[in-house]
Amino acid sequence: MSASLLEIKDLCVNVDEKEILHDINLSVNPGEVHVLMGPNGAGKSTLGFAIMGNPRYTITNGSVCFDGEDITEESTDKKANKGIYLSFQNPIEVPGISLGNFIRNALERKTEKKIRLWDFKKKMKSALEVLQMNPEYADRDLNVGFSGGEKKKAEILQMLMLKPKLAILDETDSGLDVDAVKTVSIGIEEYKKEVGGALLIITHSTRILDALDVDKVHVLVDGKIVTTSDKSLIEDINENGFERFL
Amino acid sequence: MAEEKTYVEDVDRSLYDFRNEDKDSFKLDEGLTPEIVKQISEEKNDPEWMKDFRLKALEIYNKMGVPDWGPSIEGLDMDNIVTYVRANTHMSATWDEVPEEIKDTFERLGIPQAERESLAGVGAQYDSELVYHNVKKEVADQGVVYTDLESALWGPHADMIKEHFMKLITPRDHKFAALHGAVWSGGSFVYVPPGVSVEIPLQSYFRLNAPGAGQFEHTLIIVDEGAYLHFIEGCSAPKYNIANLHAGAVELFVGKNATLRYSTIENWSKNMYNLNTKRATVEEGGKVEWISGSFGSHVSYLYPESRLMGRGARAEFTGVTFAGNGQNLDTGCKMLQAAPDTSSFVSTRSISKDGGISTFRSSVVITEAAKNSKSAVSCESLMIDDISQSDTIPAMDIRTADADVGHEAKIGRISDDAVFYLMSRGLSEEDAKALIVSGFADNVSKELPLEYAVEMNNLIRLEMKGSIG
Amino acid sequence: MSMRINYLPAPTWNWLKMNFKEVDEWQGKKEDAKITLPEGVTLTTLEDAENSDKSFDFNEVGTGMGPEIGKIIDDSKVATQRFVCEENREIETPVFVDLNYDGEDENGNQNYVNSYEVLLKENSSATFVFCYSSKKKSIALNQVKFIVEKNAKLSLVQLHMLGDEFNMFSDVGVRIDENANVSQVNLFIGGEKIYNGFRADLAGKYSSIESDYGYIVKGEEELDINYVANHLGKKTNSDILVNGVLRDKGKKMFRGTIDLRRGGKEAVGAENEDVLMIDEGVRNQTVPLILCTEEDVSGTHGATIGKIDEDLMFYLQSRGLAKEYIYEMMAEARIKYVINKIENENLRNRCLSFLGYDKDVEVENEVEVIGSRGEN
Repeated sequence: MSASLLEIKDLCVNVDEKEILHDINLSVNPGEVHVLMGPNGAGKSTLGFAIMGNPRYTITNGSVCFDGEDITEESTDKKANKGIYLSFQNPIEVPGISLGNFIRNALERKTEKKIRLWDFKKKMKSALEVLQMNPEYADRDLNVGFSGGEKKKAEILQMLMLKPKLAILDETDSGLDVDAVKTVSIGIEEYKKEVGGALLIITHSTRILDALDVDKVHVLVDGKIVTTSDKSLIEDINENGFERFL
Repeated sequence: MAEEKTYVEDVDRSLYDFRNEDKDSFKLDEGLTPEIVKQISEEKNDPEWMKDFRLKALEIYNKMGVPDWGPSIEGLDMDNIVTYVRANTHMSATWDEVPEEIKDTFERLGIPQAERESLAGVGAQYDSELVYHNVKKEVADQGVVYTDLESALWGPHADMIKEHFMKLITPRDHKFAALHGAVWSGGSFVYVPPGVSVEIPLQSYFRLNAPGAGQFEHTLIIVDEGAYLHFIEGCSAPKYNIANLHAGAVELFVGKNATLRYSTIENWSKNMYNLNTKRATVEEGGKVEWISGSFGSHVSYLYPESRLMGRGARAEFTGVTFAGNGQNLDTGCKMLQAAPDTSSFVSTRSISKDGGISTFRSSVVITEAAKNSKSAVSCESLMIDDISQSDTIPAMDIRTADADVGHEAKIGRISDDAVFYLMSRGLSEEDAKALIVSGFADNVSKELPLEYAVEMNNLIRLEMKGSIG
Repeated sequence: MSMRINYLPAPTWNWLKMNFKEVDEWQGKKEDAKITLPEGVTLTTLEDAENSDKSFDFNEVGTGMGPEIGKIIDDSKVATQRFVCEENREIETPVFVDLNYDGEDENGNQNYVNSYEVLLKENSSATFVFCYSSKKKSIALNQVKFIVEKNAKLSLVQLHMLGDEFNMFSDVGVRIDENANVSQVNLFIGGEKIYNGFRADLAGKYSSIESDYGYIVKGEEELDINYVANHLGKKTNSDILVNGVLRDKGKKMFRGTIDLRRGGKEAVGAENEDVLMIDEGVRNQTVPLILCTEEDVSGTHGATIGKIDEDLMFYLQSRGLAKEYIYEMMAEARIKYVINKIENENLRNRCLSFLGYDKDVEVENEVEVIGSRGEN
């Protein structure tokens, strides 16, 4: 048990005084790939936000432990600096800061030391190339005027640059977007290769998972995890949907 | 004092000219002397403190100047206004006892029907006097007090009234609050005990019937801890040539965790000067909701104010103003957030047509103490033609960094596309526009009980008629 | 004696004390500005006789502060200087008016008054930069009236980078004729008190103006702004974005008016304000006015005031940035956003340098030199 990276115990989460998640238990070991699936409205995105400490979500019971530490009450930025990354479905525009400078600032906060500009630029460049992004993006204001696809790429880019121990990718909206799926797939592959961190992928469509080596699959229905199994569950869901879990 | 004019000389905005004190006609006149005030007080059988109050208010009235930032009220001639007109009736218990002539007017306004449809009670004012008053048994059983204010000055709640009367709206606030303090007449007193939820809306009707009579009714509502009340104030008056003045006052005291919804459709006749003052104070966890439709009167000054004094207090203001030919309606609201976790929401729509002038005027003041407060104001204006005027004058004064304030305003015209679409479904241009404007006003109509929403939509239809060409 | 400036075109309740700003009267002497005059632009000083004649048009150009400020110019007996931009000429080099108020003078606290008129003739285009800087304790007024004739283009930059004992009055008025365009960037940093007035009369059809204002008000500084856009001609367009940061006990007043006048069909006016309030003790006052007497128009204004949006805060924290750091970063981002609107790189660097945000730039240059080997 002490080997687990992320340990969620009996977690209950409220939004606007309504309980969305009930008694969630989930454990992710270092380097593992977990998938959280479920029908619309199950509460999947809520879990990602709750782990990260979004103020709109209240944890009313249970705990979240990361790397052996109880981080349930920790502030969001501390959680990030400990090594958790959450990609956003709708990343927010921040005019006046370039994507490049923003990432560099975040890295400096995390490592607590200044990063040589030249080193940084090199790393950025290669990450941009891997994701097939135009190098100009580094100079554009963070998310400003970015199309949906560009926002997705920028989020994955940040994941690659920040090198978290656990990356939570909320792909509930990506389902049928071919480009998004491609970007995320490339990103995951690079992440596994370069960082070797754990992944928690939240989705209700299985397209993203095709080429992945998945360790565990959890199904979330009406705020409860109804089953946990291995990769074979994905095919089952592909063929039969979520019917039998409802 | 030197004459101050705004420097935008090239536009005919004489309304905005700072007025010279000498120019206005509000001097002490024969109509309004301490003797008249004493007479009113005696006729009403006021307790001593009230008589003194009136006289002090009169003093203040005489010392104050008229507002210099809003529509002109030069047409208001105090000499011609008799502040007190009594009809030949006394308070009645049931509808049947009300005199025929008066019944007739109310009949046309649809009150009896409303009465039949399980209203809690109807207080109807006729020329500054309460004529007909009926409190339904159920409401009285809950301990709710709903009576005319004048007699309540001697009743079991006399002390409560003395504690609250004109403490929220004081005679010093502005000239017409002072006038009100001196000559107020009629109005309602409502008290809802702790925890009581009044399911049916309480209503009150006013009507101005004689030429030159002033309306100075005072509404005092106290909703105690945890209670709920919806109060509807609706009024209507016919047309006259002599200037008419409405300088009423509405004071609302919302207790801890209590909720008060105050709905109004104001449809005073088109020669009225509507200088009404409405103010609510809200304690911890309490909420005040204003629903306001302003349609009538020649000139209006109307800005319901909400003072959020307790933690977590909330205020919502939803309003619509329709300024047509010959009207200058200056309306809006004021929000004062003086405690932590308070929030205010404002949604207003205004329509200007046929040379009408509509001004949305508001203020949001958030003090240093109001940490973690929120405010969102949204005002939209519709110009129906190019001979009318619509101004938006919102002001914000934020004195804490721990606040979240948003404001948006929009002005425009009826979309040609929308009109075309409706016409392609068979509506005439006139009907299409009326429908669009009704839809525009739905922020208010959807908050009103059905019969009021219907009355409001009818008003809109009538106002919109003949708008083409 | 006191006077009133920055009038709100339509007054509101007196108790709000927002209808105008009351200041003490004062007088000053003309400051010798360092002026860069490119080819195509002439500069003359108008004496009284000339004034009454040729200034006729300019006399009708109203400025944002209002008529009373003219008294200071008259009492100080300062002669107006006039720039004229040649017809049909695209002047690329900016006209630079550097008003550094630290010049030598006999007595310590001399006050300064400057008055300019600028005429951009038909089809001309030019950039005018007014840079106000100081280190000492004093007061200054700079009033500039512009007439932008048919099809002309004006790019105006006003940089207020002032020491913390300085009181600055900057007052501008512009008449924009048919199809002419003005774009302006206004930066307010420092100073003890800064008063700024701006008025645009969109007189000709299709005339337009875009404005970007940025400010940082800290310590016990005060900033009072009056912006008025009068839409007179048809199909005119105005747009202003005000971005700022209030810290410590800073106080700021922004009056923004869009006046859509009858006859100005299809006019579009927009006003947006974004205020980041950081410390307790700050005070923000905003009055966004829309006046309208024409049906076929569109006017919008929006204001977002207060602390950082909750969602944005969460997003930035999720990337590992602590709350206090985020506030610093956002304050910097805000002002940089406006600085980036200045086309001239040297000017941008000057602003960044004044703010102390130029370290990145230097480091970048240094590293480039060291690390440049092949492609980079």
